[in-house]
Order: sequence, then structure tokens, then C-alpha cells
Amino acid sequence: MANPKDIGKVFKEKLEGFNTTPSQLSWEDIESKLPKKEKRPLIYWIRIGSVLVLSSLLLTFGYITFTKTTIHNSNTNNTPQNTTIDHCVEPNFNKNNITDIKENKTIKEDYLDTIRSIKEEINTKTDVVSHYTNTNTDSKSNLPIAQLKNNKFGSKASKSSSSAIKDANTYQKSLSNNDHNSINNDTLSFQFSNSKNKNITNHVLTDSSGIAKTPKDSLDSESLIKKEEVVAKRKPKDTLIYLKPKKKPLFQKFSIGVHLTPTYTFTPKGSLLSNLIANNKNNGRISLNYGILFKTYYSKKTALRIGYNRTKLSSITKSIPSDQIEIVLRDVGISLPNNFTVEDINTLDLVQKISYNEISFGAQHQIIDRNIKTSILMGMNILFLNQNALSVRNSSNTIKVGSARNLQKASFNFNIGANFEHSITKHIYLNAEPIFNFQLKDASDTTESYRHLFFTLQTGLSYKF
Amino acid sequence: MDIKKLIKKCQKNNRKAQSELFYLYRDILFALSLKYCKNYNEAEDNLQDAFITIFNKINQYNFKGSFEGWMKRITINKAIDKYKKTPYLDNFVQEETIEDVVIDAEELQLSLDELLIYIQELPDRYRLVFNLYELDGYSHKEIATMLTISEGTSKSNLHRAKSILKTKILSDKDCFKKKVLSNG
Repeated sequence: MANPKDIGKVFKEKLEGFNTTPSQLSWEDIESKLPKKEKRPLIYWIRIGSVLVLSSLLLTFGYITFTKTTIHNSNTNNTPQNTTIDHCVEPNFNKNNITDIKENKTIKEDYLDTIRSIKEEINTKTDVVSHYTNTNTDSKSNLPIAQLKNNKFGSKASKSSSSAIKDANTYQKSLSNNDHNSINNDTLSFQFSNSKNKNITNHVLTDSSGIAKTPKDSLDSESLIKKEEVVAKRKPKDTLIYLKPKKKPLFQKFSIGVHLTPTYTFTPKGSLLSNLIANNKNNGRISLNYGILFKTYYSKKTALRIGYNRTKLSSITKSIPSDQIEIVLRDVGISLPNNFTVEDINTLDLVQKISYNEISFGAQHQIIDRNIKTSILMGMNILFLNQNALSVRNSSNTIKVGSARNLQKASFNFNIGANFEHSITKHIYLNAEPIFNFQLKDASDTTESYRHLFFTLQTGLSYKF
Repeated sequence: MDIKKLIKKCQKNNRKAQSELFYLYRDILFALSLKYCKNYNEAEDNLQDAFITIFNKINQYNFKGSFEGWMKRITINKAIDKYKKTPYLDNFVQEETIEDVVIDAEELQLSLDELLIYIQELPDRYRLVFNLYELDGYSHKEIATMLTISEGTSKSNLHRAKSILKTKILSDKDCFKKKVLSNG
């Protein structure tokens, strides 16, 4: 045997680099047996869930805000009516009636009918009142103090009757809150016919003073007449107009804004890439991000915040021995490019930039309402890894080497900060928001991985409506 | 296109990228299948099964190690699965009986097709062990794990495979010589 060789080695040598093309198998044969393209279920459901939660929150708070505002307005409309009741009660005619009036503060449906009937009653009784007051002018001890001082009441029966009309009108108001049954001819007859101990005029005027509170109102007959006319012309709802509270400033329920966000990443000890460089010094870097923020104001001070941010975090790991760099990169699935030579360099730096799509949820509450409004805020962010880039840097140049494969695809942040808001126009505001973000989950799957801590300064404009 | 980008696109179930990957590695993997399978048709079937598995499991590839090696392993495993049920004839072989089977390299002037035919004609188990050990560089320990046999059996099968190959090659050579002489 001239050249004896192991038969296995001979076969290996001869079959080295052997390639051949299958004659019948084509791509179509394989494609037909591959599963149809579908989205990854976890990501898909996270997306669907996020959209649902977002929509539900918006709808809920929108509904609550709207409902609350409506109720608030309804309450302010009711208040004057209650005030009217309070001011108009206590006519002191009949204690039973007073009790009824005080106890019964509901407005009856036949209010208008009652007023009309009362007015008729008053018209028919005006003469009686005039006569009655004239016959009692000598009984000064029964007159109100103000009238005694001015001594006008007895000599001006017509004016006193005007007062009586006014008081009767006041009584009408009080009756508006009273049981309809208590307002009838009998009651009035009783009040006028049983005035032995208490002069009816006295009652009426006392009641009048009870409303107007100042003697002038009851004594200045001309102004009184004018007032009577105005009062007589008033419709029940006019009272509400007169007593309507001051119009509140515009409540802007929603706000939408854009912002630029300088971000500084704090880098604690550890490494997102490899345990080999866990003890190397890490330095954070500043990056510029951007985002959009939508706010729903639950009240003037409290708002729900939902936003989207494009967040890039950047850090640098320093002084990695050049003979270790290839091992470190291999750990994360990267091989050094051919054009990269370490030559005489002893150490290298590794720059890592990680980009996230961030969905933020949170709330803010205003604590200072000055020219610059100040609020505190806190919330949660969901971060979806978008892309990451690794670069090796030596003293002269930086070479991008690839992307790490060991980063977490999704993680969560807790954030806390403040909002400073300054009004530029009625609707446009300038905002500055310093915020601290704490990552709640390790950023990569290495055992020496750390959680990101970064500071952002969201600065931008918002539009309130 | 950069292979990493291509793999990433395949991981996203991109049909165009999958097609590109198929045409890129088809020939290499088909040659591998031809060595492990009995014949051409079985090799094509094996290649098809292998590619379907590759695309279904490509998300499991974590960019650690060679991608080609990962695909080759899948292709080999597919072939092994097919023949794993074949029973062994000789599980108990004394290791001292195993010797190197040598042949004169100059005498082995055969084409690639002829070499492949010799390999394909080996019994399934012998063929698998011969391919794994001699052509693809697996150790007996690894082969034992892959084929769920003992290391001794692996060594024995390899020896027998080589012996069969040598016998066949030499006998074919004798036949050829006789034919030449009788014709001459």
C-alpha cells in the first residue's frame, strides 16, 4: 500500500465543500407548509390591553368630569331658591303656618296658581288693610319703631298700604314654600280679624323689615313703591336671576401638549451586557427625547395624564481591557467588525444606547396656584424596547458594532416629579416637568444587570380646551 | 443582505427573507441530507422537513454560535429521527477488536457521486455514525447521546461502517480490473 490512509479521513477530504442543488424541491413546497404570518401573541395582547385600558380610563374620567360639572351647575341653580325661602319665611302671622313654612321647604307644582290667587286676595283686601291701618294709627305702641320715629305711617295710609302690598308679596313668596292649603281666604280672614293683640300692620311691617333689614326700605315710600312695582312684575324665576352667583372662570377639561425631554441616565454598579464588566465604571449620558401628553382634568386641580414618549437612554462603560471586549460582545451575540483593530490600545470604552417606546399613565395635583402653577405628579410607564446600539470607542474613533440581544423587551417604570405651568394665552401654556423615573425590572437578563434610574426634564407647550 | 438582518426578518416571519435564506443555504443542507439519507428522494424530503423546522424555530436562535451550524444540526437531527427506530444488530462489541481501517488513498479515485452512493448503501445505523464521526466531527460521546446508544456501540458501528466501505470499494475495484482484463 503506497499511501495508506484511514478510510474515514479519505472520505472527509473528498467530500469537503460538497454542494449540490435539489432538482425537485422548491421554495413553494416549503412555503405552503409554513404557518401563516401572525403577530406574536404576548405583544399583540399587550397592545390590545393598553388600548382598552387607555380608552376605558379616558371614557370614565371624561364621563365623571362631565357629570360632576352638570351636577355642580344644577346645585348652583338651586341655591338661590333656597336662599329665597330662607329670606322670605317668618311672616309671623300664624305660628302653625310658620312651622309649616319652616318644615316644608319644597316648591309646589302649583306655585304660579297660588301666586295669582294670592294677588287677587291682596287686591280685594287692600281697602280693608287701609281702613284697618287708619283706625289703628293712634295705637302707637303697636307701630314699628322706625315708623314711630318718622310718624309717617298713620298719615299716609296709601303708602302704608303699599307696604302692606309689599309685605303681602313677601308673604306670597313665603307661601310659595308653604302648603298650598295654608293659603286661602280663611287664613287671611283669620289673620286680619284676629289682630287684637297684634296689629296686622305691625306684623306686616315687621315681616317687611325682616326681609329688607333696613328701616329705610320700609320708610322711603317712593322707593318702596318702585320696589313693589318691580317685585310685582317679577316672575318666580326672576328671583333666581337676581340671586345667581358670580360666573365662575372657564374650566378647561382637557389639555394636549408636546414636549422635548433632555434625559440623564444614572448608572448604578453592574452591567447590562456581561458579568465580566460588572465592576467597570459606568457613566450616564444626556440624551434628547420627545413625546406627547394628554391630560383630563378631573377638577380644577387634579388631572389624569396619559402620554407617549420616545425615550433613549445612553450610558458608557469605561476601561474594558481590549482582550475582553470580544468576549463581552460575543456574550451578547456580537462579533467585532473586521476593520476594527485594537493594536496597542490597552482599554476601550463601550457606549450603549437603548431606545424605548414609552406609554405613561399618571395623575397630577396642583398645590400652588400662582402665576406659575405648581403641581406634583406621579405615575407608571410601560416601556417597550425599540432598538439598542453598541459602539466601541477608543481614543481616536468610535465604531458601531451591533445590538445586544439580552435586553428585556418590556419593562415598567415608576415616576414622580413636579409640573410647572405658566399661561401664555388663554389656552396655551408653557410647561416644565422635572421627573425621576425608576425602572421596576432589570433592564437585561444578565445576573449583574441593574435597573435604570433616569431624570427627565419635559419642557413643552400645551393647549387647554 | 447581512445575515443577521436576514435572520431577524425571518424571525418576524417575513416571507421574502425566508425565501432568501432558503436559497442561500439550500445546497449546503441538501448535500448534508444526501450523506445522511438512503437516497436522493429521501434527502429532498429531509431537506424540506429541516427547513420547515428551521423557520418554525428560528426565534429560538439567539445569535450565539454559528447560524449555519445551527441549521446543520437541525438537518442532521431530522435525518436521525427518521432512522432512530431501526434496531441495532450488534450492541455488544469488544473495544479491542476495533482497529483503524486503512485504504490506499491513491486507489480511491472515485467521483463524489460514487462516494455518496457508497455511504448511502451503508445500513442506516452505520451510515449515521460514520457521517457524524468522520464527516461532521462529532465525538462518540455526542453520538451516543444523539442516537441514544452507548459509546462502545458507536465505536463498533463506525468500525463496521468503515470495514463495509473498504470491502465494497476494493471488491468493486477488483471487478473493474477483471472486466478490463477480460476485455483487454
